[in-house]
Amino acid sequence: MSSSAHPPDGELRALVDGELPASRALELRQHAAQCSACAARLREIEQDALGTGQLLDLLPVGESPLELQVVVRRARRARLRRAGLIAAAVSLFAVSIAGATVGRGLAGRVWAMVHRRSRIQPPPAVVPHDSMGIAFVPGMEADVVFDTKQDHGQLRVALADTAELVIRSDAPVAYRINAQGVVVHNPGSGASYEILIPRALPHVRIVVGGRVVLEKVGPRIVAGTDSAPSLVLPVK
Amino acid sequence: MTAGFDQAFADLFAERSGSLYRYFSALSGDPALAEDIVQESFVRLYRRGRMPDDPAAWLVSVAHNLWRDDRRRDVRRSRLLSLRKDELPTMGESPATDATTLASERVQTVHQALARLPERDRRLLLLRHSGFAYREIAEVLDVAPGSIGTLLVRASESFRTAFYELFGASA
Repeated sequence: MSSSAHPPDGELRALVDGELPASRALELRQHAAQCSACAARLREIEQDALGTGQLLDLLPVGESPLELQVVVRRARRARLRRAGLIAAAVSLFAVSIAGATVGRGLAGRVWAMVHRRSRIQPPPAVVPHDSMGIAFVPGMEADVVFDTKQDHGQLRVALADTAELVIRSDAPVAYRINAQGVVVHNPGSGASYEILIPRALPHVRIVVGGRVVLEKVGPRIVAGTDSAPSLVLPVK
Repeated sequence: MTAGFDQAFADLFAERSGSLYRYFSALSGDPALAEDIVQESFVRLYRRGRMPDDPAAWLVSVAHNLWRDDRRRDVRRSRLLSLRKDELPTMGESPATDATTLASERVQTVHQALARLPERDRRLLLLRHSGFAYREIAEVLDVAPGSIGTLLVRASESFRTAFYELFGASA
């Protein structure tokens, strides 16, 4: 484009935003100094950009609370956890070979060694039927799933500054830990439960008979029952 | 992880975390969610261990994906909230002054005017307002860098028109 041609709006806006190369910006300014139509349009676009900015400034966004150290610490923790899982997987592969040739005793000892080193959970297991509770360290999120609704009993839920998610019941129930969290096999039970959720756990859901009765997302907790908004919920 | 990467990451964080946070805070209207999303995006970049070609655009794309996932979950949360809306505890109500009411109406109208725009225009305006360069915006929105100026002029005009229509109607 020659310096005498009228520049398009997009270029004028880029001029306002300081997004043009210096030589092109100079050309446009020289053109606008001689062309009243372009000078007027440039002013309009400037005013429009300014006005839009002032309106968007009204949005209450605040200052960023993010901290580099926190981000790096979180990222490194996640890397370590992943490295631990890879190491455990490799070791387990070795264990399965060793177990096939020299028996399960060695395999068990190697598993215990890996478990200590990597701090990962043992494979999914069904706790004996007479269990009065269970505790495990969840990943970034966990579902606590009750198989069915109960006619009686309550869920008492509390946040705790612990790493373990703890469930206690006042009557025996079977629990099964899986990759998503824990399943409570409660058909026919009338037990009441106390659930301690680690405060730092980012995402937890409590599901009873297929219905989410409580969800924790970050620091926020949403209860979805018809009861009063407390953390004591009926298991029905 | 090299010292070079760590330094580049720290520089990028210093340069970009604020603008990303402001962008997602304005876009979502939820500062706590914006904090979570932006933090998680930086965590993923750190775990990646090497810089993408355009780190700012990469971060915005990852953060958008996280936000989209969160909105999907939000549909479920909304259902839960709607069940409980009439039972949620109310804050102590105090009479608002005219100035407070007016300011809050203007903020609400800004949100409504933004909501009237096509998603691309909304993101365009907020990205620019949060300090992203044309080149980065073009990468994020997958449009030609040379078209950003034109798109901004149109989006700005549409936004201001919508704002004054809505604000005039509510005043």
